Amino acid sequence: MQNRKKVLILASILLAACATDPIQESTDTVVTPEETVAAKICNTSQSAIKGMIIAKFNDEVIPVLEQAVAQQAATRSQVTRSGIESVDDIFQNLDVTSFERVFPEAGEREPQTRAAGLHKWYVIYFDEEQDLDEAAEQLASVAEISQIQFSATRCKMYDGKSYPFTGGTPGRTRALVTSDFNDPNLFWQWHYINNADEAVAKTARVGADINAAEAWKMTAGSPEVIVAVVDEGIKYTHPDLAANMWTNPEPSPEYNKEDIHGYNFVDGGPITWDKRETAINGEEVGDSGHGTHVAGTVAAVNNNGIGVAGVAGGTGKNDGVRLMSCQIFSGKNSANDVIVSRAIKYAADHGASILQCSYGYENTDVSNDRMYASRSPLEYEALRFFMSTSNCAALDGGLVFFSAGNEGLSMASYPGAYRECISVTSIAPDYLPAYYTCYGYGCNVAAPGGETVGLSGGEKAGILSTLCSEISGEDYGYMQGTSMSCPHASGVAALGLSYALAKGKHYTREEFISMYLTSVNDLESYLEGTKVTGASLNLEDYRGKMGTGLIDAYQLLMQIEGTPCLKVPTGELQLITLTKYFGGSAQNLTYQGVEISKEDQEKLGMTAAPKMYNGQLMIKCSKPGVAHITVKAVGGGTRPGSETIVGGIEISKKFAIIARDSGAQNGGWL
Amino acid sequence: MKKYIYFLIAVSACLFVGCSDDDDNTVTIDSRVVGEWQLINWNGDKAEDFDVYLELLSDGSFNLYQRVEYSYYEHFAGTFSVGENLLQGRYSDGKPWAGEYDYALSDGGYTLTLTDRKSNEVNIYTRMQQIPEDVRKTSVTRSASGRSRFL
Repeated sequence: MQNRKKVLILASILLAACATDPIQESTDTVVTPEETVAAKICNTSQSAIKGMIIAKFNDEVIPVLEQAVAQQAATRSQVTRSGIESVDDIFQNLDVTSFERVFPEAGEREPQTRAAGLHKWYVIYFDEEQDLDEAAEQLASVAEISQIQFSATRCKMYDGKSYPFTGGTPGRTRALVTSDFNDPNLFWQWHYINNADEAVAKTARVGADINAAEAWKMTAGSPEVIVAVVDEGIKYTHPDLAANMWTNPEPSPEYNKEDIHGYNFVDGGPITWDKRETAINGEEVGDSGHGTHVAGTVAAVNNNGIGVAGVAGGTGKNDGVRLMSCQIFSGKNSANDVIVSRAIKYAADHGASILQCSYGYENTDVSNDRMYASRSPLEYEALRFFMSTSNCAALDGGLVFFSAGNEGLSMASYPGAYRECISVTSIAPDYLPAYYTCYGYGCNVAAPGGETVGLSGGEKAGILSTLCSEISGEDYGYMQGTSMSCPHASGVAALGLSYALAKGKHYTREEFISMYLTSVNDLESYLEGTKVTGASLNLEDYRGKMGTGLIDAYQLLMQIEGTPCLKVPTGELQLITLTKYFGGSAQNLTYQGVEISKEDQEKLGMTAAPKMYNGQLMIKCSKPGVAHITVKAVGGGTRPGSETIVGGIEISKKFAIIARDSGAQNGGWL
Repeated sequence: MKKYIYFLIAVSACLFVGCSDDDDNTVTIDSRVVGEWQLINWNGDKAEDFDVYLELLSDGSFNLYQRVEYSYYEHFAGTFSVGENLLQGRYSDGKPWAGEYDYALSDGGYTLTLTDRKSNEVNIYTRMQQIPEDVRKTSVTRSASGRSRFL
């Protein structure tokens, strides 16, 4: 049997050598068949799920493949052959048990699916005893297959530890900002409105929050905005979530019509949230309520007289954003490339405009975007598909949020570190980095993620949200992590889209992200000395590495309201901090340049082009008038990301300059 | 008894009314500049990147709503006076207008041109039936905004 396999591999390699392979077309050097095979295999079998391999087929064989699959599907329970002789020889050898498209037929979205090439990805199932590397080599040796990927495990980026909410006694506060919402436990959600209550933490600081109170006066959400929570299943019957759950108007036959509020991509069926079991070592493993907690932060129903508030949970009039549960963890079962990619694609196909993710690689040395795209092409292409799909009238495309990671590393975890994703770091109620947060390259913005240990308030310094009573015994409780900061960030984006819809505004992805990453409060001024809670932190290590600053919902809504002008008096050299355009961290950002047309320079009588100097705009106008200027900066860190360098998102802000000889002392126009 | 008390109250009220100051500083501006205006052009540039609404009332007061340096509308109020071709005013915080303006009405009173005597800045306003209600409602009096934390 072994010899037969070897002969087959050799024959396949020789066949591959004869075939024209696109990989070889652009190279002048001689590539050996072994190298061709190796080049097609994207990743390693380490951390891969046994019994399955992902393959991308070449364009020209797709019609044959689809015809064969359709014929078999009509007559058999499982499809096991591709209709391509060379491939089927290997399928026979591997005893393939089933074979299917990674992304099922997408109905109305099928043309876009095909345009993106996602219909070319198939997953091949076989016995778990089969050696994965051997299977990959065999499959990679046929010319009809262009890429082979092992389905690598994805892990939860959290420990799942929760602390049930049991009430509490307020302490002394240093501010009294309140909201009109009547959710009884909103008082303990310092992450929305931080009044520096000593019961939360003696070191709590006013304003270490997302500034929800001011934002909620303008909007608290819109049912037209759908946030897909790619996580454990959301308990969609939770009394504080049920009204904001997305409900599929047309459950699909591809999902046995069981995709009502989303889908369980792990088990293939309805969403679950309370699967737990006792491991051999006696430890309880399984669901933790994490997806339900994350969902509550995004959109627990506001102003309904019970429980907690959510960032974009509406005003109690059925006007919150909608939550779609894209379940990628179930009980002790982990996610993998196929599961997460299907979940992302489903979200894009079913109306989500924001993807909220708190998962990552189990073990990886992926350290730049090129490596990520080449090692995880399936997930990469699914993410690109989501980002290019417009499901909200206010935005061209989709927004993807990832938690930065909880290992305290000086780099964001992939996939979140990918420069098109927004990677979210975590702060505690003391306005300082949480002891566990990853920071540095690839991190784009900070949000409250809390600390359930180490601060004087104990778990009250964590994030209070919805939980599964089946697991925690209570409907509400505290958790900590970048998993918790991330839904604050995605919730604020959901508020932004809701407000943009209400105002009839429309943005490109780049425009919206530029507004988003500049709607922040400064963190840098707090980063001095040390902090000792769950770990000892040298705060100076975090300078310039937590993203652009602490996200501020009100600032984002104000940016959507309109872009203010910059008034400059004529005849004087001005140094101006661009807080209005780049948020509270304006002076600490890394700027990439200033653009202004020659005509506008002449119009305002500028003898020198304006430029950024020490974080400020240096400009001198000698004639009155209106001109336009574009300032570019890095959204997170000191360098923009590229294929080979992990870095921030490029931000571009265009605004009008009004140069005036005169102006009232109080700013009045007359 | 009750009727007697009501009678006394009514008489007192009449006395108060009678004591009101008939010869106070009440101003009546009888000029076609009175009305609601929107800035459409400033120094030859269309006012596209910013909004300025001006309400000149016949009692000599004005309301100015502007969205220039902030994303929201700021509201300024004060008093103004009209001389021969001259418009000048003072904000309610005591600050004078930045300029004294020569004014001219054209287009049958639908266009108001204000030219700053000192800087020669030219502001062209168009008469509007009504300043949008949401501008009035959402505007923030700058001194009372208390929005130091924000943009």
